[in-house]
Amino acid sequence: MTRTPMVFSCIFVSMLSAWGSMGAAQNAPPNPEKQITVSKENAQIVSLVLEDFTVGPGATQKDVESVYRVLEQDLGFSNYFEITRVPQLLAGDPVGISGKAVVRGSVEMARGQLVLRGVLESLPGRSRILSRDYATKPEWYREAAHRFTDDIVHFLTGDTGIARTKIAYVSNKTGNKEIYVVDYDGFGVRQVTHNRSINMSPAWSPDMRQIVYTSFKKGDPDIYVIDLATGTERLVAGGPGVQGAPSFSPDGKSILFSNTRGRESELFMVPAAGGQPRRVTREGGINTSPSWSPDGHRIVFTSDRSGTPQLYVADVDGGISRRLTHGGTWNDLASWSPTGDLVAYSARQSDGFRVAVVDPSGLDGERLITTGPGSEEHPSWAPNGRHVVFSSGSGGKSGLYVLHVDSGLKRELIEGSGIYQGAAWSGVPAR
Amino acid sequence: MRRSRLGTAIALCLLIPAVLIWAGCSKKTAKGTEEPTATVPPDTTTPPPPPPPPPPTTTEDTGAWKDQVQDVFFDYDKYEIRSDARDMLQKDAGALKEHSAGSLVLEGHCDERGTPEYNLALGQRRADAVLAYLKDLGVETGSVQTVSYGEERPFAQGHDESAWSQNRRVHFRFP
Repeated sequence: MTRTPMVFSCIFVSMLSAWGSMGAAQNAPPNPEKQITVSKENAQIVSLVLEDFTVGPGATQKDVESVYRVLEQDLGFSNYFEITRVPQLLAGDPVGISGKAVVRGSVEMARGQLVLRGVLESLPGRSRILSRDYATKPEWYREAAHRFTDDIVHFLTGDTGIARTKIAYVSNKTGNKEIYVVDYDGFGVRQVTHNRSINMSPAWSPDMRQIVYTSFKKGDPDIYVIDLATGTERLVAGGPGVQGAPSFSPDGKSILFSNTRGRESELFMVPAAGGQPRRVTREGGINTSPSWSPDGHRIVFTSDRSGTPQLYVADVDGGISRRLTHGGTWNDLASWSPTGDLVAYSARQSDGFRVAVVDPSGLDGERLITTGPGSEEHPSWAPNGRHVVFSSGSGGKSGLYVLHVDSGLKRELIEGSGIYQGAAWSGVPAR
Repeated sequence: MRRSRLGTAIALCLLIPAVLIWAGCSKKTAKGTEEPTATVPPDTTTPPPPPPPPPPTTTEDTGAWKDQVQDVFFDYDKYEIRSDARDMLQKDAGALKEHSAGSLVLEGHCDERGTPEYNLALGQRRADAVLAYLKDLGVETGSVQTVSYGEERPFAQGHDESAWSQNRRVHFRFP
């Protein structure tokens, strides 16, 4: 994760020090790169002044409002900001409004393109932090706002913006479980598979171009990779028994999956481009649902060798695995945070699953981060390591929800009457 | 992972044989690691011993006996054969040995309480456990297939133990 030094922003420096001290209170490792940690108890919210946008050449008031509304929602979904909306300001510091930065912009239409001219200034003093043009096809206006949001988040916090990420999931709304993708804000739902069998366990390639998933389309569960742009699919792991729970390595070169047949249920790794699978675990019992550490050296996975499904951590290159969870009788479906500091997973309680987190080092205990009702399961981290998406169902209503882990704030991603499960958050698209 | 179309075509040409080769290799690998013990499910791809000649039947086999073959049930999150299931499998094995079953698929199923991914593995372990038990009882299992549906194809639709206990099963399907 790149953190660009913001020498021109005194606000940024003061935020760094504020968050740094909270990070220390959270027992964060003494790594200056890791000190930006918003704690749940004392979350540092940045106050932003959001000016009305200007109607630029060729654009209508409606064009401008559409972009503005997306930006406003994106900034809200980021959970970093307290936003004060104001009309366009005169030069100089706004009077009677406290804020750390001003966001302003104009929208133009030129040569068939929509151009958002975005500006970010620090307060007091209104020194310019960012000034950038975001050009897209007019129908992709949301993209322009998402890009500006990601820049604002990056320049003010150092974190990776997630406004252009997507989430893959499983829905049965056609009557069969098929794979879908949706933008991180719930827009742009798109059905990816159409084979009318059972499809499950989608996971993204790091470049967001491919999804690996499990499908029954040839009668029993095998693993395929589908290219999202072309729809081309290829078999990655097939044969008798279950090939399931696939996961791309962080470098995109390998796919880890679970193979169950006979008395074996172990994790195997296969080159993403195809080739000979190599066995990764030799545990006995059932071993499935692996998730990679961000450096690609370790994995967390589910094993029942203790008698109940629990999480274990192991080196990808072999070696002894270490039990990570001890509480409860069913801990499963782990997701290793892209920032490395937490593993989220499904922890069975008396009335269903809850989402829980545990420190992958095993030093910190297991704690639940959702409270029900219903069963809340299968968390997947956003690339910023601050939000998780999970599925939940209760009382005939089900859907996918996004939780900001530090604040406990939750929003609906997608909701309906059928099954929504297997949510997998993508990485960040290339610029 | 951006590739030209030509690159994709080349990759596919390389990939397809690679997958086929792997499919062949993985069987060999699995076979090599199997140890013949009484309780261990043998590799389903092992060629069966020469089957005994079918028992002489004077009446035409209408297949009605297949309705008498009973599914077997499992405890929560378990793939060990229960004692009541042993009795059931004795009878099932008798029927299977007596008749030429044709094709048989053992379907492993789970209740909804686990996770879909884990239950896929659990259902396969259940199906393979039944397969191994039938083989130990002398059933010719060379052509028997197993498939796990995990929690995807429940028999009972409820959300309580009476439904769950029905759904933790290995189903005998004669396609």
